[in-house]
Amino acid sequence: MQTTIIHVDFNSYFASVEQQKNPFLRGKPVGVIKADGRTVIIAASYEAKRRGVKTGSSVFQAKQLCPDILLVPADFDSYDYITRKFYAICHRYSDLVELFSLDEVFLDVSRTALLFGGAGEIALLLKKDIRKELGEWLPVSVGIAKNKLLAKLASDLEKPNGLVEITDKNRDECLGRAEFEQICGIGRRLEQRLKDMGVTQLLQIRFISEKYLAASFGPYWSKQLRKMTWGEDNSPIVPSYQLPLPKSVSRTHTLFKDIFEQEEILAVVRNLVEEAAEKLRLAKMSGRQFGLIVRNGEKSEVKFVTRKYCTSDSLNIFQELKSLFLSIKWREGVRFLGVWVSLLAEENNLPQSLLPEVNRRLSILSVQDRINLKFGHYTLFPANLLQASIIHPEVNGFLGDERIKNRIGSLSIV
Amino acid sequence: MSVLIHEPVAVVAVFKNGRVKPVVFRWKDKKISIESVSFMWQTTQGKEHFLHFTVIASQTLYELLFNISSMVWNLERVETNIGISTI
Repeated sequence: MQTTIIHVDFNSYFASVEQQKNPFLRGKPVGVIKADGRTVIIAASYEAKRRGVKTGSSVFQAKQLCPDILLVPADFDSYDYITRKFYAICHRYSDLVELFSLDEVFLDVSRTALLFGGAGEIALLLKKDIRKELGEWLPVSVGIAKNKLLAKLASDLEKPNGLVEITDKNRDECLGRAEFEQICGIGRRLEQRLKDMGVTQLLQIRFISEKYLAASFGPYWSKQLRKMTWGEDNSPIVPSYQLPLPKSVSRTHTLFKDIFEQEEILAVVRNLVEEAAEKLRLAKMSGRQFGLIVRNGEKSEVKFVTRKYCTSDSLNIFQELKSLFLSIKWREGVRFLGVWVSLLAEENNLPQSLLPEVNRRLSILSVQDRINLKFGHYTLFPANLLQASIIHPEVNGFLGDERIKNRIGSLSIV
Repeated sequence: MSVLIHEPVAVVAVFKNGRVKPVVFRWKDKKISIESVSFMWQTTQGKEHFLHFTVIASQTLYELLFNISSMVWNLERVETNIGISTI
């Protein structure tokens, strides 16, 4: 049976949601920033993109390119809500749905297309449902093809609100007009390396000898590039229930201004550890490698420590990270902090502690988690954070969190 | 510019086919008739569920919040001018 994949992609997602919420923003250049006072554009509307504003542009650059740009703080709760609704709509047309990112979904409709009159009909129904149930200002581009690589390229060829099908007949034409950045898997560095070799189009790779390609890109990437140039991809749809367990849990945060006081810095570390450790406990996992990233401008320190015993106790993890922070003797201000826990193991596979104080801590943490799930994050929190302004969870690292959410059923931790 | 209000308000709403649609609300002794609901989304805080509505009335955007557990409506914010100017 011929495989048929549909890729659905929201256009300028965060900015479109803001324009949907506020009709006065429609048709105007909009830049979404993470919060009031932040300096980076995390999403730009089509009107802003047309004037050169890109995701990742600084507010300063954006205002130079587009002085009338309207800046709106992100509202991740509403984006998360739309993503869940979007995912549910896609499930009407296939049981094999992969949430590729917050605003992108792959559907394998090979077995369901006939029920709806074909893949093209499903694409039109999806567009109609999304417009009716989510809003008229939330356009999606849809691509149809025999695999994920071509379906994603197809949805990217006509934006916004496009519908493109790549078949064996138009495959070479579509691959021929694709930019490298439109090919899933070709990142900026790989693109630059290809351009340095004089390769400016994907189809040119067909004419490069196997030997030369392998010498330039190594055995893995030479094979991948060869497959890409022919539009081949055999990667399967990975529905959420098949996602692998997380290998690490992390949380990073960029501060509004540099902070210098050791106590203040450690309070932020504790705050981030609380969130990472809560995710671990809800996923019924523990880790034994603990890492810390401290950054300010160009200066950066990454340190980690590996222990013999696993833990998900935020206090233990914090104490490890506190020692790491003190050991680096950071003398400047701090603008960015990140924590992670890796070398994870499932709690079911770990021996229970014989020490009563450890078990007492686990009971306390279990009650704390239940209270926070019922009444909201940080209803109960460590006293070290009493004087700090709490950093709450947000929809970042969405897929990583999704993997954890699968472990905890319907409990939402984002 | 977005102004946070966070005040309880009286709302007349239509509950039909499992959906809620605010129609009129009273704020500062003024009856405000909603012309259109531009967006609705749901959030949770612990086990409490909230419905958010952005609505248009007289060229102004309002955000109404309905706490499903306590059945209380709040006016969360008013957009007095489009967009937010930062920096």
